Amino acid sequence: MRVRTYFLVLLLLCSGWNLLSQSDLMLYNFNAIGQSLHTNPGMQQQSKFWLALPGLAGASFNYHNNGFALVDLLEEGSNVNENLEQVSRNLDGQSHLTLSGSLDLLGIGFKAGNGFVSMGSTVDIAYRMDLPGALMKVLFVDDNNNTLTNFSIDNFEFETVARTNLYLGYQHTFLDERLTVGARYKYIIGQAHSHFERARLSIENQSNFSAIINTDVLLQSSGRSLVEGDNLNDPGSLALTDNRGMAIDLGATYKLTERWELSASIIDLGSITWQQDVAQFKSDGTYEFDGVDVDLSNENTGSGFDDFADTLVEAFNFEETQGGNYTKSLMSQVFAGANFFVTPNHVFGALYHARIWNGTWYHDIGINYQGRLARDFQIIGGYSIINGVAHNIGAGLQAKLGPVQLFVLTENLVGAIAYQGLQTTNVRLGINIAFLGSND
Amino acid sequence: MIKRLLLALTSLLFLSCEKDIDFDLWKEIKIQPNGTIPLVNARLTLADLVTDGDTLLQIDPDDALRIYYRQDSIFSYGANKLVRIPDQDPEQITLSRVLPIVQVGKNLGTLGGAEIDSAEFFKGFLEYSIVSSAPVSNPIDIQFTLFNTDDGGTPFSRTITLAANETTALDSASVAQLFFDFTAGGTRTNFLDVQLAIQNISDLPSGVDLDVIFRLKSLEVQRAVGFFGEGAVVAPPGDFDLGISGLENFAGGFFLSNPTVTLTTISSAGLPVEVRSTFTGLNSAGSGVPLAPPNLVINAAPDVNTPTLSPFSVDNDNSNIVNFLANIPNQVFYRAQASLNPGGRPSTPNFVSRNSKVSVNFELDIPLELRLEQMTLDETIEDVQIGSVESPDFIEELTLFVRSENAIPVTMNMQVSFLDSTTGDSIGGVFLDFLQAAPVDANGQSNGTSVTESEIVLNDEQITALLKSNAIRFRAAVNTLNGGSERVKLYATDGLEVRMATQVRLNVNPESL
Repeated sequence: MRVRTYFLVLLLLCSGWNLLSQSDLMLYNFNAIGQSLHTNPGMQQQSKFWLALPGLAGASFNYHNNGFALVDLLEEGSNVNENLEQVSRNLDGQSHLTLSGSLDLLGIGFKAGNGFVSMGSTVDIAYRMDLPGALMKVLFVDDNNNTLTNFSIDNFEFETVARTNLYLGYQHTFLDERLTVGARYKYIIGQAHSHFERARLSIENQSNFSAIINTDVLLQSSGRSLVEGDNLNDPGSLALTDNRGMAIDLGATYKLTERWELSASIIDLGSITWQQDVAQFKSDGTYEFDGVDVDLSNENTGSGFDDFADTLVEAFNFEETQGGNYTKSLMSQVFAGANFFVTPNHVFGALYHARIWNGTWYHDIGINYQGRLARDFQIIGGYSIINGVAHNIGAGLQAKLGPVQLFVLTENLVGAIAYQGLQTTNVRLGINIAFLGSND
Repeated sequence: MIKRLLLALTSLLFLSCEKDIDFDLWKEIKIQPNGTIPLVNARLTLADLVTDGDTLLQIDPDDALRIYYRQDSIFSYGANKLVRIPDQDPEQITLSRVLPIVQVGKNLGTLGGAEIDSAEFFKGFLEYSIVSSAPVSNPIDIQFTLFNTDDGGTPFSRTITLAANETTALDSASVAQLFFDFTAGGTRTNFLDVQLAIQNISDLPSGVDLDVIFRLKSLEVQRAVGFFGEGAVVAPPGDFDLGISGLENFAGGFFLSNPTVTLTTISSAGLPVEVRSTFTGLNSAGSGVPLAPPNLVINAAPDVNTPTLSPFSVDNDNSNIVNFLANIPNQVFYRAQASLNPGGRPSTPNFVSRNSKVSVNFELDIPLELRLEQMTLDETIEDVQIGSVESPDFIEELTLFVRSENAIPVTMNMQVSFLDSTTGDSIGGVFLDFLQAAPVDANGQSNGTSVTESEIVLNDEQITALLKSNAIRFRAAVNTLNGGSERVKLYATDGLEVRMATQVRLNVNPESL
């Protein structure tokens, strides 16, 4: 009872930070809720039937910034400019910011013999970008290697996407229920997208009077016009675009012994072809910028800063083209875990998770405890290091009130309360209708 | 086990809460980028100045530059300016039954003491009227005759009729193409021989007087012979632009070698004229310098078909042309007055025809061989706002780099002053050695390039002045070699390239933006 009270308090504290939630590391092993299939379609389900209620089924929010926390900049009594300099120096090629959210529009899953069928729809919105360390060094670091005309950005990555997934999944058990293999097919309608296909920029002073600008930039976007004009009043045109894609999730769990269970999955193997309202901004070349060209024979020799700005813009030689299409792979995820069953209701697990964005792997590792404290009440708690950001204490619970299943999970409980040091968190909550099997 | 886990969790919570956040620190953020930024890459080839359609510069076959300007008929006097016959005063003659015919001699009124021997008019009218002292019952005809005219072989004669029961009659007749002999047989000038005669005297009642009033008016000469007097004729004043590309904004110190202006007079009038002209050139600073050319004496043309053409060279010996051009006039204002027959009555009579004209052409044609001595540029850029009250020191360091490659044989240095536009006072500034003169050969032609590199580090006071100022004044002085004492010759191929850059360290508080 005291434990329940404690977690209720934590839940309230969490709700003060985020009402939306998503979990990856916490959700993965939390097979009490059908949403765990989002992370591994081969994850055996406790329920024989679950229904994710439209609008209530689950929402999630994820924040990750491995570059700095708020306290790194604004600690009381500190010098904010020294903080900015230090943060800027610490940023590297792996430093990035992620904001994402998802919403379960509808979901349903049910047992069918030795199999389990699931189908539904989710909406995912994600914003990912490298933290612009080079630019921040220019602005905040007193260093001749980082000046307005002497710096480089090597493949700055940025992507934002909004998509709707229609999925159909199936898992089947083999070997006397020791092995479960599952797959999920996703038909994807993309609402909007933009990203840097390439973003390399360098400016280097050749002399006081000349700087060489090298650019190799291609920014692609789709769906910009959807949020313009009257489209905002037409949800149909916002949702049903011509941008289509597909993806496959694969997963399996294998019960090695009575105490040991292994699992793995790979999520979002696929891509979307963006073809509606496609715009591409390209800059590719080398340009010597030597100031505003002035013809001294012309009385009207220019209008100061406007000419300077125009000349600088011309130096980057951006070309905009409309139309065409491009295909962009999804950010795939890999999970691999091992669980140790102390008892059937008390399990300790270890989990590896990776996000693969534009060919770069971002690694997370964690350990967790899964407790089935009662038939209708389960908890999960864990510690994880997410993309190098340590000290993430995660927790989650699900409670059934009859067929109504409430759940909430978070990756960083401490961060939800002590936002000062928050660098990563995700929170997921929702309500399902769930019926457990007679043996569960 | 679970209790321990919860204890650890709780400890971490409190641990995390130890550091407080002060959101007001955002207000203290300062962006402090620095960099060396190319600002300007300016080029000039003197040939570029010639592409301007309004320029006075021309390129010779050997690429030498010259200033050329010509304006024809800057002053012009036509026949009717040279022979001035005004509208005549009305003459009145009274006729009656007692005095039915009158013949009188009248003088043609002229201006300037002109004494006309003969003339034919391109245009003109004889205007006349009859005023009766009482109505007449029958029409009265009066014949008007000018005996000293030739109207197709006979004297000009017109009949004026006073209608019955009327007391007035008004009419006019053209005298165009009518030849007048004003000499009275070689004894007089300006003489008019007029006769008025009642044709039907029996119809004029006794006691009725008829006043005949007549005059010549709107006379324009077709041809005239005589002595046209010694009066002065003023030409309409005017002005013309004399801006030279590249020099419009400079003033003073522009000394051309052997500068001359040619004033060419053309006269197709048989009349000597002396033209006294004034030319005043205003430069960009509004300063005026007179040319003060000599008076132009124009001889009489031998006949109407053989105009005299006399070029007058206005040079350093007979005018103020050196100072006039040194002032770099952008606009020239002129006016002139012509004195007719300046030597008195000539031995041969004056003559003009309708197409006769006395005019003066202005022509400036000077090779750009010169010396410049403190030729100045003084310009102020208003409404400059680099700094702001909220962020008075947003520039921490500022260095200005200037590099020039100069193939023009002139030097230029520049004083840049930061002004308080309210008071006009300079609150700081910098001095730039902008250009070093290119070397020249024995003919004064540039034969190399001089490179000047300057690095001006603005101190705190100068940066503060720059940020506080709201106007910047540029005062440049241009000299040829050796302080302006050496003459050089400018060629279209001469040019320069100036590069400017700044090394700046900013200190921007976003809160103040």
